[in-house]
This record gives sequence, structure tokens and C-alpha cells, in this order.
Amino acid sequence: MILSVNNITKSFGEKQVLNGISFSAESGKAVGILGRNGAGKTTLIRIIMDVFGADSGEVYLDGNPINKQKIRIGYLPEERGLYPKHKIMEQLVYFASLQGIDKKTAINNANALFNRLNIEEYKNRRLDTLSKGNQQKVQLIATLITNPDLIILDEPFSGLDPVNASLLKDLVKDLIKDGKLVLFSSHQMNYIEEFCNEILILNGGKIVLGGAIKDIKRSYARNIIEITTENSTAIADFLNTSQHNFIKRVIVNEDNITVTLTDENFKDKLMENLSQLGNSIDGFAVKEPSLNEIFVSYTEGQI
Amino acid sequence: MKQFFTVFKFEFINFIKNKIFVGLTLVLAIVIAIVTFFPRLADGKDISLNFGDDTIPSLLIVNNSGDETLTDALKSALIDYEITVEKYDLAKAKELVTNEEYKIAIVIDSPLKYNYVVDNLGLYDTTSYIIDEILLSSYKMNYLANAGLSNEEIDEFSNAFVTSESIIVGQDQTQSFFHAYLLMMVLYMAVLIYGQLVAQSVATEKSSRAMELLITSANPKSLIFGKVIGTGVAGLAQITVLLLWGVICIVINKEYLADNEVMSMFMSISPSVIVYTVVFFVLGFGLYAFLNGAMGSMASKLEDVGTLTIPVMFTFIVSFVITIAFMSADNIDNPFINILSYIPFTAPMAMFARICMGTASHLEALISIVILIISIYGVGRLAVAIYRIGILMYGKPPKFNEIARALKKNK
Repeated sequence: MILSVNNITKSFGEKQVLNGISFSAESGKAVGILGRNGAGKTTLIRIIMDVFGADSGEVYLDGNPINKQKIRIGYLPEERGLYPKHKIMEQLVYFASLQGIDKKTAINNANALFNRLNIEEYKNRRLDTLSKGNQQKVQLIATLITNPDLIILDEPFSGLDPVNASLLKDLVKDLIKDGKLVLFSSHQMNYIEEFCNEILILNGGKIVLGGAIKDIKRSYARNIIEITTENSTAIADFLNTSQHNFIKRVIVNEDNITVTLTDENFKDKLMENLSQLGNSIDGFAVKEPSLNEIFVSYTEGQI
Repeated sequence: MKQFFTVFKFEFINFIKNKIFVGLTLVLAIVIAIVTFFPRLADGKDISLNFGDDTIPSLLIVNNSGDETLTDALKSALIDYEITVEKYDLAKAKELVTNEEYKIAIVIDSPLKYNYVVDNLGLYDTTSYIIDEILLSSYKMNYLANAGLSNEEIDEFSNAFVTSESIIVGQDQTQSFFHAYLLMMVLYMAVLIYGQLVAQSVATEKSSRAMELLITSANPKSLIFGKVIGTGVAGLAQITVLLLWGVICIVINKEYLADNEVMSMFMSISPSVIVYTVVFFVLGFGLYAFLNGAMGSMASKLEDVGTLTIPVMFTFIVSFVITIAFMSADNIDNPFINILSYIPFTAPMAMFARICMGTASHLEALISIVILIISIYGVGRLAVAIYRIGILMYGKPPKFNEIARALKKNK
């Protein structure tokens, strides 16, 4: 299954929210949608889900417009949305039946998920009697109860303790492994890096950066080397004193040294020089920019 | 369509399961039962509704008029009192009442002048009227006797009375006013309460953000139609159950209720008026509930609902007040009310009042009903359009011209 979004534009009144958004995603992979608050992520998600139409552009699934009768979409909204005063199982069945799932299937699916998320004892309680973390699990059950092919998760991990977060993480990983198409929006970059093969960064209604995370990182200059060692001062002195004309800058940190080379091809030369020194080195690696740094550098300006 | 039924069922069942809804229905049913069974239970028993103390009040008569027959006349008329006759002056009488030795003191100065001394004058104290009556008739009798009339002549004169019989060829407005007033209250309350519930329910879904999931699971048309009709049917079920229960209670107690003036008025309500009550509830509710649903969709917080629904509810309240005012003034057959009974927003009250008071023919009622149905269709479509925009708006409730602009753009 391939989701392709072609040249979407959308404005509310005077405000142009999306301005020519195009990307594609396929089953068995997760795509991270990043953007600052107000960048248009929710609008993009709503257009994909056909809550409202785009001003121009199309959303296709395997080359056809999305038919909600046939394709099930699981959505976990950033602002959690369920009835607080209703019994959990009752409302889950209601939301499933709105999407065309019969009661029996809904209950079976829900039970399997309750079991998986260890909250079986709460299924006949009122939602507002549960803790925040458990409410979040129920929200995820509401997302997955229809066994959807396309899953959109907006900040699924906010408010979860580490144990629950890892429980949910395993579930999401399994979904990807099972061949679901996952769109994942979060500000927690570590989760994005963990799940998503690809990302797109929205800013000012446009995709300012998109592609595989690995490729994006590799596209940055690879001339900064991080050396992990316990003898950082000795090594730093050596690199500074001996006349190494391929070294631009040496910065000494507490337990490592970052060396900026004049060209990334001098990595081997640096390693050779260090091996002559005979000091113990724990690590030698090209320093890649973190996703966080990439995100900030692309979105720092105007939204 | 399937989605509509899913929403409808969910909304309807929510009402049926709601403890407040069920409790209120039960309380109203009990009230109906108490009112209708009371005459049966009270039959043959001396159940007086006197909540005061049971001791016989004491009354002092001081007759300084010189006409001793007045004392006897008063004694035989004021049977509810323990009467003492003394020769005191006014000051002494006042003192005795102040000291609570007597509840009331009557100090007669002359055949047409007396003082009524009482500690606290009750709102329903009729004793002084009785005294007025007795003094006046004694005076007249004495006057006539002095003028030379015989006792028989005086009797005949004082026992004269007028007989009359009202022959009602049209609607009895004294009776229909009462039941029209009552049914209008029922209709008014039902439309107001259930209409407000729709607005609140939509706003609750928005404020709890359940709407986020609803709009991605179902289309807005199914959501608002399901909610309005689900709520309406729940209201209709409640009204029908209570009306039927009322009829059952009245039928069971028919023989005991026949003598009761108020009850016999209920029993005189014609079946067609009952049918019209239901029809105008459905139509009035439909019209106002769609508007309320649309207004509720624009509220981000529950607190906003009141402000947003004011224009809608105000229209309805005004239509009720105007209609009631003309009814009270016995002027329901008036060109103004006539016009109002065909305007969709005032018709549920004005036409219904005209039907109850018997000034509208079935054809006129039908025309009004058709106008209402067409209007509900239009208002329903408008409500869906507003709802579609409203449910996605968060923050300050939008102004009406902003809504109009958004509607225009979406067309």
C-alpha cells in the first residue's frame, strides 16, 4: 500500500496553512511528520483523513482517492478525545461501529488489545476513573480497534512513564512489522529516530526537509570526529603541538575530544596519527548531527 | 445512513440509561399519580388541608350598638369560634387581644360601624366580610320592617336570586384556556430543555475532545442528525409515557375526579389536542434543536453554550410570552397572532395556542405544520453547514459575521 500526497494547499481565511505539500509513504514503514506548533501538521493529517478537503492537490492510496468505506484509518489525536463519563468498552464499540465494525469484532479486537496493554480490569470502568497513562492506553485501543491499515499517531507517548512508554513502543514496532503504514507526529525526537525510517519537516506550510533519516544525516559534512578516551588532555596536547595541517580545530570535553578536520577524507590520517601515540582510545566516530539539531536548524526562523 | 443509526442509537440509549433522566420521569409520574389518586384516597375521609393548629379560636363580642339582636345573629353565623359576649370598651378589647386572651374582638359601635381587633390579620381572613354581611342585612331588614313590610315580604325580598345558564355554541374558552395554558407550558418546557440538552451535548463532545475522534470516524451530517433525532425521540418517549400514564391514572379514578373542577377540565381535553401537542413538540423541537446543535458546535467550553444559545432560546421564549399574553388578554383571535402562527419560529407556540383555544381550523394547522417541516429541512441543512465548521474551531466563540463568511466560502 502506498500513500501519496500530491501538492496539497490549504488556507483558512487569509492564512495559507499548507503550501504545496507532497510526499509518499508505504506499508511496513513509519514516516515521522515534524514541525513546530502551528506548522500545519494537524491540518495535513485532517486532509489525509478527509475531515475537510484541500484547496488543491490530491491524496491517493495505491493510486486511488481514499475510500473510507474500504480503508480503515486509525487516528490517535494529540488532544486526547474520548467520552470521559462513559464506560470504556461501550464507547470503544461505538467508535468502532461508526467506522463500520460490528459489535462482536469490536469487542474481540478490544479484548486482545486490553490484554496486550495489561489494562483488562478497567474495560467496564468509566474513562475518567483511570490514570492518565491508562487513559492513553485506552486511546490507543480506540485507534487500533478497527485493525486499521493506515495508522496516524499524534504524540502517542506524551504523559507516559518509561515502563508504559516501552510497552507502547513495542506495540508500535509490531504494527510496523505487521506491514501497517504509520504516520507518526511527535516532538520527542528520540521516538522518531527509533521508529521512523523517513521524516518530513514542515515549516511555513512547506516541507523544508524530507527523506530517510540516514541519508539526511549522511548529507551533513562528516569532518567532525568524536574521540572517546580517558586521556583527553594528553591526546589533545599531542594533536595541538605536532604540526597536523589537516586539523582545523580541537575541542576538549570532559570525556571526549571533538576534532574538526579540514576535509572528511583525512579521517584515516587522523586515526594513523593516533595509533602512533599508543594511548588507549575507547571510541572513534564521525559525529553526526542529532535529529534535534537538524530540526532546530530548519525551523528556527519563521513558522 | 448506517452511521446515522449508530449515532441515533448511542444518543438515545444515553438518555434511557441516564439516572437523572429516568429519575425525573419517575418523579413526574409520581406527581401525576398523587394528583389523580388524591380524591379517591380522600373519599369519605375528612382530610382537611388545614396545616394550622387545631384549637378553636376565641372571639369576643362587645355590642355597644343598642341592638341586641346583632349579637345573636353574629353568634349563629360565626360557628367556628368560641364566643364570649361582654360589655367592655374598645381599649379593654384591644388589651385582651394583645394579651392573647382572645384571638379576635368585635366591638360594635352602631348598627353600621364596628371595630375588628385582631393581632395579625391573615391574608385569607374572611371573618370581617361575614360580619359586614350580617350587619348590613340586619340593617336592611330593620329598615324594611320599619317601612311597614311584613315578615313574609321581607323574606321573599331577601331570598331573591338570579338564575342563569351559559349556552356555549363554540369553544368554551374558560376551560380551554386552562388546559391550553398547561399544555403550552409542557410544550415550552420540553422544547426549551431538550433543545438546550442538544447544545450542551455537542459542546461536551467538543470540550472533551471526543469530537476529534468523532469527526474522523463519521460524517458531520450523521453526527448532528443522530444527536438531534436521538434526543428528540428520547424526549418524545418521556412525554408519551407521561401522557399515557396521566390518561391511565385519570381513567382509573374517573368516578372520583368527575366532581373536581380542575380534573374535569383535563378530562375535557380532546384527543386531537393531545395529537397536536405531540406534533408541535416534534416540530418545535426539531427547529430549535438543529439551531442549538449548530450553536453548541461553536462552543469550545461548556461555559460558552449559554451565551451562544441565547439568540435561539430568546426567540422561542419571546414567542411563548407573546402568545401567553394574548391568551391572557382573551385576544387569541387576533391578526397578529394569526400571522405569528405561520412564521416557523413562532408557530409552535402561536398555532398551538390557536388550536387549543379553538380558533384555528385543521386546515390552518396543517398549513402551519407544512411550513414548519419545510423550515426544519432548511434549518437542518444550515445547521449541518455551521456544525461542520464549528466543530473544528477552538478558542473564542466566533462572531456571527465570521460564521456567515465561513459558510459562504464553503458553499
